[in-house]
Amino acid sequence: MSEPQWNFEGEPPFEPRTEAGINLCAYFDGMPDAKLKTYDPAMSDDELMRWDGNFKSDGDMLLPCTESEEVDVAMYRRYIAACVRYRDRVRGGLMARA
Amino acid sequence: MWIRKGERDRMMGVDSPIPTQVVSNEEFIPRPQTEKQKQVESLIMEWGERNANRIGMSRRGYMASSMGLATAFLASNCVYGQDAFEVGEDEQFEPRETETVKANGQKGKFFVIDVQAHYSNGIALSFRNSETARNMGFNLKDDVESYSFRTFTKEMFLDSETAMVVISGVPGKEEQRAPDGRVLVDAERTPRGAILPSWLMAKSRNELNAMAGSQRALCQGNLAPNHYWNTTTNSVDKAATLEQMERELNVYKINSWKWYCHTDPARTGNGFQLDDDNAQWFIEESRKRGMKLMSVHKGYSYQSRTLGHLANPKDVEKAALRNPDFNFVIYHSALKHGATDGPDWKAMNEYNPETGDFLWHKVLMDIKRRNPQINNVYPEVGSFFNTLAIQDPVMAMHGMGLNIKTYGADHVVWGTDCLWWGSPQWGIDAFKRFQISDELCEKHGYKKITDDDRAKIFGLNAAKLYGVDVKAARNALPADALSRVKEAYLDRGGLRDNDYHGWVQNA
Repeated sequence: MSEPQWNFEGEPPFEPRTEAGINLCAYFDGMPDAKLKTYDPAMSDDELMRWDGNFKSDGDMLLPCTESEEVDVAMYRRYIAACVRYRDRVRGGLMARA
Repeated sequence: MWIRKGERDRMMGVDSPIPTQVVSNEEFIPRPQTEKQKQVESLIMEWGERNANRIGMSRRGYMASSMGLATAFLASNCVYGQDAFEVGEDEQFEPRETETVKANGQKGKFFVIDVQAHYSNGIALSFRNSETARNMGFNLKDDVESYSFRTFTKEMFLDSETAMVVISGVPGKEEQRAPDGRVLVDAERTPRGAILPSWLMAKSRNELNAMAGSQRALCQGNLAPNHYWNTTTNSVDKAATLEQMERELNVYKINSWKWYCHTDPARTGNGFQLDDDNAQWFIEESRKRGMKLMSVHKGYSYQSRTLGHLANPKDVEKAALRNPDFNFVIYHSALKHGATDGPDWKAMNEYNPETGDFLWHKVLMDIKRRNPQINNVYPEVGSFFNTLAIQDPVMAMHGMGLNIKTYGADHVVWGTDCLWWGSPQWGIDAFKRFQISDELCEKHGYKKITDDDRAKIFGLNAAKLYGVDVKAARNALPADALSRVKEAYLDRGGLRDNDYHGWVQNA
């Protein structure tokens, strides 16, 4: 099944919008639903970093074009939790149209 | 997990004079090492080891020498089969001063100005604790900032033939005043930390020039039209922007603006375009104050629908036409690169071998094709030439060939994006040796790259843009402190680290 056209980036921001936040939303829009469904908030920070695969050895995320701030694990957790809520809300409708 | 390329190489036992895969400057996700890059790496290691043994050198010493570089370019030519790099078999066994290679034996033949030089906090290198450094009496403070800056100085000036650097900005806004109205200074202006704020770039430039006793560094200023924002009116905070503009021009004495249209330091929820009203207002205010040089990041953007497209160079056309007294240096020659394009990266970047075009470089080329009268746009080649040279030398021939054919050799500007790529010497060596094949010249109307072209691209074009008197600068170099330190460093066995600080996947 093809991936729906997610638009978490277009959602009203759940916390003050920043450049890193915008790019992180876009990053999650590119994450396959099957992968996102395996996200477990109980993962330790190390497990989460391994699960995602795009963290750097310095502990921050390699999130291109986020020039003025770094994305750490805490920020990542806030955004992925919001993304899971977003997808749970829109998945049915988007799948029906896909 | 992403690790630094140098770290990956150490784990794999690799010591290569050229990077054997593309590294990320945190502006893109680098493609995995290709099969051809693996072959190049394998040949470099095999031939390097063999050659070092043959002439009785350590592998480390050999790989840091001109002979190691020559071996690496021979390996690239062997794998890609295009002879993109002019290099003789004999160079593997004849030690030379790196600066004299491909320069008719003439040291300092090319006056190299690197307009895209960065340093980044947190880069750990061995130089500070090396015996060479200790013997030279360097007083290295034990803090991250000086650590990185010292590394920058070493890799840019001692390990390469770069004569001058332009310390190039990373977007970020400065806080201006304390709650009591006092004007903040230096680190107070970036209380949450920042990679390369304007105040730090200016301070580093001044420190370098004072240490050298000549002009070795210039710097850019980060201020852009969306850095100070009135959230009530949702418009530019003009008073704050002008206050910062005055500070950057009069206190920091910046040498160029550096803009990133697709970033949002003031958290406005958007970026800007070179041809929008806010940018034009900024340009007019800058014109009044005499600063007419704009360095603009274009390309290397992806993902965000809100911000990503703002790095497309489509907006250069109107801005350049409307402001003919300004010069626009377009960083990365607008190479889009793409992020998640994997093995199909050429198709994803709409690379057309019939025309040599690819995203978003084509947009930049088309602007000049449509407007031959435009004379104030300059493609810059940092993380463009070096990326393409190790990714696909034929694309590099097209990229450089098109830049020169379309904009002219007098409009292409040298930059490297180092320290991400380690010391820039490998890129300098690569461009000194780089040539476009007869086949592509014939088919696409490219001209062979001459030493005159190289001289312009390496530094003379940037010198004009920045008002550098090359003759005076050349005359000052031999006696300046940095040259003397370099001489001592080399005399005492200082070696270039083949250590690349950008990110690669830990496979």
